[in-house]
Amino acid sequence: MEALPPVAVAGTVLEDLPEDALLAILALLAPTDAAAAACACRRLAAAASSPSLPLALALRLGLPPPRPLLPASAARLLRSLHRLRRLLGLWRRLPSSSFSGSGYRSTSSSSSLAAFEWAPGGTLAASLLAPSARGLAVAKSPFVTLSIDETGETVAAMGDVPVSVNFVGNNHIVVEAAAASSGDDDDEAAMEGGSPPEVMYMHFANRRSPGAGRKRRSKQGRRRGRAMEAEHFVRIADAEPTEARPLQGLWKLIARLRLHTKGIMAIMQLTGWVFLLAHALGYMTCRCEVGIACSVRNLKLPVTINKLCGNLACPIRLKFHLYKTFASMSVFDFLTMHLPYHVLVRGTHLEFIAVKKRPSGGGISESRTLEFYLVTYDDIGGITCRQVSDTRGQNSGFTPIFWTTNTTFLEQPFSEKELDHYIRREHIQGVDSDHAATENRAISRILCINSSYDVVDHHLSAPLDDMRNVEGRIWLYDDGTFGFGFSGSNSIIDLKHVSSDGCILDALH
Amino acid sequence: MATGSGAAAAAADAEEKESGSRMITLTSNEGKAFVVTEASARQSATIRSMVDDGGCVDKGFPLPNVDSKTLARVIQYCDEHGNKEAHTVDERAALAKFDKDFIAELDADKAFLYDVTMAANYLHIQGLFALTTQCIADTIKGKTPEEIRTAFGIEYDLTAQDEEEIKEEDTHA
Repeated sequence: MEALPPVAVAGTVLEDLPEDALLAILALLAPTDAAAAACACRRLAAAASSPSLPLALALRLGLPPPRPLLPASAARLLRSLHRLRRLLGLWRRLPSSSFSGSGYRSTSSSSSLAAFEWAPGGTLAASLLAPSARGLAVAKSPFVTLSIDETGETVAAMGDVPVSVNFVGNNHIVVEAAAASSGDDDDEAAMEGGSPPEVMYMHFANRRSPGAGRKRRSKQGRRRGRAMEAEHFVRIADAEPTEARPLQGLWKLIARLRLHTKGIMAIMQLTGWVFLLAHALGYMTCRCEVGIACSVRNLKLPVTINKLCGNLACPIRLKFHLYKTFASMSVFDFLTMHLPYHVLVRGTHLEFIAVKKRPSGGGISESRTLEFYLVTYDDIGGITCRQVSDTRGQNSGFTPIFWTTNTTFLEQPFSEKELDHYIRREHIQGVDSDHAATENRAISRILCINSSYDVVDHHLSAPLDDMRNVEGRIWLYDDGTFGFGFSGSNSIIDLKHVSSDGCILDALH
Repeated sequence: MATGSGAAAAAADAEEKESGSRMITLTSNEGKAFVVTEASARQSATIRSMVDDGGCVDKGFPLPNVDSKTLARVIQYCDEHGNKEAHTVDERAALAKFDKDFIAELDADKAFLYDVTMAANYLHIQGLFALTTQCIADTIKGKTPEEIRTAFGIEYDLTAQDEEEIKEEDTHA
């Protein structure tokens, strides 16, 4: 056993800790906290400027020890390691300001989630997450890879193309083509180090003001031809549930039908079109085969939702029966031009089939059915659930699904009414999930939701006066997952974790 | 030859299985002996390597750098982590709760916290070391240098020149 100086029996102070321990402590701190610690005493100051600190940080991050560097580049290496560490986790892509496609070097998909994870060789690999065709699996496609070069600097590349990944504030990053010359992009470079709010706002202001943004882009465009458009991501800070916030995090579900604004709006829009047309052509009413039994004045949407819920994950067919025959092709052409549906003439009725590859966000049904939901707790104790959807649609980004201000759970034993409420419902789940397991899963707690999408969404043209639609329940299961449902429907939408301990579950490469 | 090494491996295997019930004596710098299970002692990478190297298990291990009070507390941690299973969710939760209470108690007595940190570092008890350093780091988080000095009872020992140098380094970093 090597001889070490004996430990003082009493009155040990922080400065007495060996350098190993001080380095381990400093490696746990963010750069600002480490800098503050360095100003506290000599011993900490010495440890903070030790060339061994990057090694301690790499060790803590579970990375292979970095190559020995000149002491001069140790500080740079340390900064790069901290940068990579800050990038770890899940990020949500903000809708791009223009998605027309011309000159856009697309990053292959419209997926709105990116995961930054450690990869072999001490690199950080970012992948885009998208629903896969296989049930609950999440398709991962490579996006950007970051590594640290021999000078201690961070290098990022998308495939073989060098890109730059810059922080704009702590929770916002910009991925864009690497600057060819440092002169032109110094505004970004200046921001990357610190994160004063003004800089962030300035950046937003610049980004939104059409003059400044375009000017710079076109300048770059001229210089390099087809420039990659800057991609913005915001951090998903709390991607996993905690004991105190069991609903928090990023979730996924298999949707048979979009039970939210988009779907309902599309049905309403569609119905509206038919009525307008019918009206114009001299028909007063029409009837839809899947249950929109309605007249112009009376749209019974809950009926629609209930009936459609029973359908499988296939394009939903709505048949509108018109009470008199008409066959003006110009009418159909007009419809197909304006709606994302195929319009088929079947005898005396029109059949609308949702186009499989939708051109934009709104739609009734679609070929892929896995959806991502983010549940967040706000500072005043409420819960908001939003759908994280395509970044390319009109309603892109972040559609609210429900919120509640009261987060007090109903505990066991539950009232008979509550149990009945649950049992009568049908679970909506993936084809590959274990049906029996889902059915037998026990509810640990119940939460009442008192407001849903239609309260949040101002665009919904016909407010639903039926209170049953805004009330709902969240059933928290004993396995840590949960399901939710609204009073107006007879289904339970079950959600699954997207990640666990920072690892993406069911990932497909 | 081949059979010989096979037998040796089997013997080592048997010894490994048996090792759970073996007892090991650790002696503090005050000469106080603590008898612990091997599973508990193996939490320390230092002791583990000595045991595996065929060290003097019977004679026990003198620990000249650790006092009795600290050793007792370190053993409390090792017993919990070495002797108990952590396979099910409940078992892991119980262990997490133990850690939480353990560190909360230590945090109240900073000098003792440093002693345990040093012992964990010296004995290479990874889990305990991570727990105590994290606790110290958490105390530093969000504080100004002055607040850090107050929290840890650090005497101000930097000269104006030192501070200048630190600031200089920060702006470079």
